[in-house]
Amino acid sequence: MRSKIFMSIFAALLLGVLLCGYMYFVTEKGIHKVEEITNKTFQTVKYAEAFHNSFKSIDTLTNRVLSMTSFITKEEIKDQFDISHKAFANASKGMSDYSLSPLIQQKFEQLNHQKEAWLRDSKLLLGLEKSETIPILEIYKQRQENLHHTLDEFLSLAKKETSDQLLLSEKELDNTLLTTFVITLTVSIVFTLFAFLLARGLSKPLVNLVHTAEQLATGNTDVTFTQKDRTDEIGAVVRAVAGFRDGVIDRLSLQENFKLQTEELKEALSKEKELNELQSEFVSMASHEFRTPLAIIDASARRMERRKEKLSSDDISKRTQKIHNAVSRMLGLIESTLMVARADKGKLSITPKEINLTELIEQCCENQNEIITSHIVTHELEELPDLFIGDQAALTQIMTNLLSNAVKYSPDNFMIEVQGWMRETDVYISVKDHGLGMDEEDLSNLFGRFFRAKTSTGIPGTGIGLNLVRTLVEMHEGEISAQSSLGKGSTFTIRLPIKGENSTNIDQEPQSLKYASQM
Amino acid sequence: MRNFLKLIIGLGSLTGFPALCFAGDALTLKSQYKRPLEIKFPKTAPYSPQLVTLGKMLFFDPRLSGKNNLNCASCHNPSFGYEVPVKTPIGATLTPLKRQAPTLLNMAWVAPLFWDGRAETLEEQAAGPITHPDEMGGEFETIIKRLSKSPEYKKFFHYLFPQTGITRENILKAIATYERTIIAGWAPFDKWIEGDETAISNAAKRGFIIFNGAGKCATCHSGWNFTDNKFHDIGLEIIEKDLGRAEHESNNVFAENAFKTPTLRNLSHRSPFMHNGHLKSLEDVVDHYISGVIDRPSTSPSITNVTLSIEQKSDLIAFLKSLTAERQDVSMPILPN
Ligand code: HEC
Ligand code: HEC
Repeated sequence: MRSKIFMSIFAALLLGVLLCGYMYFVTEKGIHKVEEITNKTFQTVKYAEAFHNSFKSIDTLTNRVLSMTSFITKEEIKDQFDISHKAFANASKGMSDYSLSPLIQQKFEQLNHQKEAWLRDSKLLLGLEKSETIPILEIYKQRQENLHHTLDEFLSLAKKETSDQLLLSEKELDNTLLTTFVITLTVSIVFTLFAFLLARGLSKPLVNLVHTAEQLATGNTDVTFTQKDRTDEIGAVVRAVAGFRDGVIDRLSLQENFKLQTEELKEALSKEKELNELQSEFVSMASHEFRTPLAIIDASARRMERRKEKLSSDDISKRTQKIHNAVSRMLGLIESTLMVARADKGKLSITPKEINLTELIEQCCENQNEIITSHIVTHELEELPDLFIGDQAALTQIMTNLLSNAVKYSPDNFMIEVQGWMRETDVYISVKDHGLGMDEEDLSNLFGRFFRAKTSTGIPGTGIGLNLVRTLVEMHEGEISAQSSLGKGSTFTIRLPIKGENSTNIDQEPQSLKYASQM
Repeated sequence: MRNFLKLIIGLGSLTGFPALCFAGDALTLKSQYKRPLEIKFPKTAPYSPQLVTLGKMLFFDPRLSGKNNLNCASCHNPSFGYEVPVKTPIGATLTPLKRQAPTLLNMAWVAPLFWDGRAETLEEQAAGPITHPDEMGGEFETIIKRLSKSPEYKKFFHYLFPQTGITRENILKAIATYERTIIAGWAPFDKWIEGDETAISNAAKRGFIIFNGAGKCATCHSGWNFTDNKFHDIGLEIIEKDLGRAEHESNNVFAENAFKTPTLRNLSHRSPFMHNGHLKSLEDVVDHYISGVIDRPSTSPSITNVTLSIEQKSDLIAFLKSLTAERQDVSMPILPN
């Protein structure tokens, strides 16, 4: 479809141009006519004046000659006469060229006739032509007077006629101008109205559109569209903007998704990065962790072999105990690493059974006291449910990890307190140390894999322990929380729901890490 | 037929019912008074402005008189209808001449010349006053000598007459040619004749009828120039013996005391009237025709006492006055030295 607005504007312009052209044409024509007439009058008057002048010059000549007061030779007379006569001829010709109407033409012919007769008389009187008779001077003068009169008549007639014509054509011009003016005015009014309506028809929806677009720009897609059904460009624009709005809505959601994804990706990336760092740290730590118990075992075995005769049974039990501890430490390490690996592969599962939680905690504390002599783990368990459903190994692992962490991060304070209590349907177990503690920042990242607190500098560890603990807690549908203040120690509290009857396979995102370690 | 009509007109005007007849015949009458529009020049002296100018100069040149004191205008003064306002002009001898100087108006249509018609042409006539001892008392020999002294005259004459130069004939020819151009101006009467009814008074119009009718004046003062160029004894009282035309027509009874009928144009400027300047006014003239005509053998048969009432008389005078044109400017020529 052709642009309607364009067509209308084009048509209006074309009409305007045509009108202008018509006005110009009419005015030009009228002015030309007036000019022509004015020119004609001017020319006629000019020639009439020239006529009159040459007339007068001949008159002067004849007057001078016919006064007969001084002797003027024929040659002199002839010269002067010829000049005037020539001027006369020119003027007559000019006048006949510019004669206007038959009436004036007639007058002009009369004038010319009289003039010719008068000229002939003049020639006779001036002796330029030979004849037996010459006109009586008075008659000559009389004729001259008549000629004069006719000239005056001719002039006034010409003037009147031209002025009449001028008036007429001026009137005509005025009329045409008036008509044109009226037409122009009407057309102008119509155009203005048209333009107003057009502008309104254009601007109103456009203003609406601008408003809508602004709304859209601010992200508000909840906009309505009017004049969507218009068949012209405005309608098209409205439809286009509506389409745009729809697109914006799509794009916004997409963008949202994208933003989310990006964030996730970013997070993942930073996590990955972090993990990578932690992983390499872990590798070095793990090798070190493994190396220490192995060294202990090796050293104890060598000492025992070297001094096998001199060893008392006490010594042997001491040494074997050392070996045993080292092995169990390694085993624990391996166990937790494996567990983490399993968890990574989504294969970590717990097997909830009826267990004695109090016994389990006490056992763990005892074990800890057995292994670590530098610290004393006290436990204060309120009445815990007799029947608790959970995974023995996992819970043991949780406790072991929490305790060994407490030991590790409180090098200067040997008191480690374990508390247990029950509230409503949950069991709470807390492990409190009075060690290094950590700041808020570290606290919030505490349970991340390979995370190590700033205070952990110089303290061996792999950073998988707490992560594993959380995983395991969460597998029991519980949760772990930590409180800590720098320099004063930390308290880790786990909450476990008592009715943990069903064994759950915890859905876990696949983790990139393949290693786990207990520190 | 014409006379019959005139009779009727005369009777009509006499009986006091002239209007009817007048209306019918006025046109015929008037047509007899149409002026010529052209001057005819004799083949021997064709017109040229140079010749006229020379003639005019000579006309006003006192060197043409014996004592350098008279010119033609001395006795033919343009201001007095080319006459002088005295009974008879005084010439070179300082005594009044025998006759009044006649007007020089319309000389081109007048012949023969002089009161008694003794000259046939103006050329011939002009020689008269110049050489007449009583008039200008000049001699052509001396005149030619005088004129020859003027280089301008010499130049003019030689321009016009390359072969002959300044001669008696050429002088006379020039003067005569100039005289032919002296023409009475268009009088109110002429304008009336040409159709302008308002040009003259009703009295003058009535006078015109009387002039042609009861007054019988038109018998002799006929045509546009009001002269038949003939000689009549109009019965004037003889104060001084003057044979008149009889000097040249001795065996004609009517030639005795007969003088050439003068034109009646510009009468108002030309008193006194008659060949002896004896009648002072137009009243006198009309009175003469009414009651003064002396009946003698020579008296013209067409001149019998006319009976005119006082009104008719004044009408006639009004008519005669309508024959005088407005004064025309006559410029004086610059005379060559
Ligand atoms: C002293 C006065 C006087 C002078 C000067 C004079 N005239 Fe005259 N002229 C007369 C008189 C008187 C008559 C009439 C004589 C006669 O009829 O006998 C006359 C008659 C004539 C007539 C005849 C008129 C006619 O009606 O027939 C002509 C023509 C004329 N003069 C021309 C001249 C010219 C030309 C000159 C100059 C050269 C001249 N006159 C100078 C007095 C004069
Ligand atoms: C018979 C012919 C004749 C008739 C009729 C006649 N006239 Fe005359 N008129 C003459 C003549 C001839 C003279 C000159 C007489 C003279 O000077 O001696 C003259 C002279 C005159 C003059 C003087 C002109 C001058 O220059 O001095 C006047 C005026 C005049 N007439 C008027 C009239 C009037 C008016 C009538 C009619 C009532 C009339 N005449 C009828 C022949 C006539």
